[in-house]
Amino acid sequence: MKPLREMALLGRSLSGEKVVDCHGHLGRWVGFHVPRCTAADMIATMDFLGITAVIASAHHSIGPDFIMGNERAARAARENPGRFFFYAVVNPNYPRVESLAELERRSREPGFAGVKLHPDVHRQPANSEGYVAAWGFAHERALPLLSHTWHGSQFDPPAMFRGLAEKYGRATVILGHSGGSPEGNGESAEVARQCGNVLLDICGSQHHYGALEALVEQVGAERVLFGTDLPFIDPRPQLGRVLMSRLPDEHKRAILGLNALRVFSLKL
Amino acid sequence: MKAAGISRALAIHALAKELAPVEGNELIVALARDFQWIEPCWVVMPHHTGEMPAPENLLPEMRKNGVRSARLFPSLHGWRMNEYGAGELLSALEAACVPALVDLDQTNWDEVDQVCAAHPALPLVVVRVTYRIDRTLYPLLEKHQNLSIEISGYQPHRAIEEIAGRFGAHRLLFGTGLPVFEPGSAVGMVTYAELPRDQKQMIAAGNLESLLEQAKP
Repeated sequence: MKPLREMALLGRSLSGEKVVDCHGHLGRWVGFHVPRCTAADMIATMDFLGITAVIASAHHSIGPDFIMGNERAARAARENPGRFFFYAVVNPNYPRVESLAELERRSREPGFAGVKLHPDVHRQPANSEGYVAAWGFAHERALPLLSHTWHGSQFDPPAMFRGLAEKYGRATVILGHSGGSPEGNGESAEVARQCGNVLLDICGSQHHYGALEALVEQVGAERVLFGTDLPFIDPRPQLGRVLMSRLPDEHKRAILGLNALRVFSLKL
Repeated sequence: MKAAGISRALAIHALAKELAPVEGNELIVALARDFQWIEPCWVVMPHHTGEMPAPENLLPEMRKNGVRSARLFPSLHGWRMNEYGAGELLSALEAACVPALVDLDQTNWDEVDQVCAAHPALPLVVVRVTYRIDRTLYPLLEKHQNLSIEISGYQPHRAIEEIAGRFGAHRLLFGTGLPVFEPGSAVGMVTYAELPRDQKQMIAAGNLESLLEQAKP
């Protein structure tokens, strides 16, 4: 078995590894061009790189129509079993009863993996009334809940999730982007140290030197998850970042997929 | 760099960006004498205040010091990348085919358009771009053959393949942003690109080498 750094230098597929992208999307986005953004396009890229599976939420859900987006994501999961899993998104600007009904419905569909929140786009704080149904649902069913987080945001700063993770302690709370910036990474790590049910997702476009190693040092490799934003962002930079990091291969494998298999109870 | 498979780097000195170009430029030349892997790049700005040699003196200075490229920080350094602010400087770089690199956060696409149009022989490389630029970038790449981008921040899905297919792999230059950013991210973009090996090689090194070989400061 070649060292993972060497695989990256040679551009070799990781098809012999377990690679799970815990932070994917699906479809077009309003503000910019997303080339090749269908589920088939995503699977083609995953095939080429050797990414085993993606857990995704649809852009329609994060944008204007959460139910339409959830339907599209659920369909992609149905059509790509074992490769495409989906988060059900709720929009906190809609009545709680609608959120709950949507979560109940989606949770019965094949490929359902958890709940996704995007407080920054939906313009409601993660601890606001509009999200109570989602938090309660994830807690009662002991589900993973991925939320966008961003340092300095009024809607989803990592520190806001400490109280939520404590209150909804049966949910596995994944801090998307780990707060984004190096400051956000530190804030996220602090929350993870305080709450055993919090994990950190490394998805993002700004890969500061040494930031991944710092996260692992602060919370342990078993609490860090690989995420790419595919197809919002190409997965190659994030893959290269992990494979060529200064971590031991054992930690790289945990981050790339083994942790996600555990957290999402996947058998791939 | 070694662990990331990178053998050479076009580098500016931090002092040239963050304090005074002339001071940092002297330091990067000295470092390049000691470290063969450094291709020294000078941070330049217009000469009107006397802080930078006039173009007729700047280019010979660059030649004398083995410098074949220029980096521009118009926003940080408080000058305008337009004709009244930098026309003479840009014309001199253009005449010598010296590639000019400018960070996207130091300029804007309208300025890039105007500079490329006014100086069609100036190789202009926009560096540290983002993944949200295609709707502006594509028409500019189509309009200006002298425009190219550095890839480290350019991360749309299949971006490398899309640009190579639409405009040619010669419009893309490998860069990392080291030591601020991880080199593995940009390396992965190239090694894992779905392109023929010769095009990957162009992006990884050949395109920049060609620009530097053409420069005659």
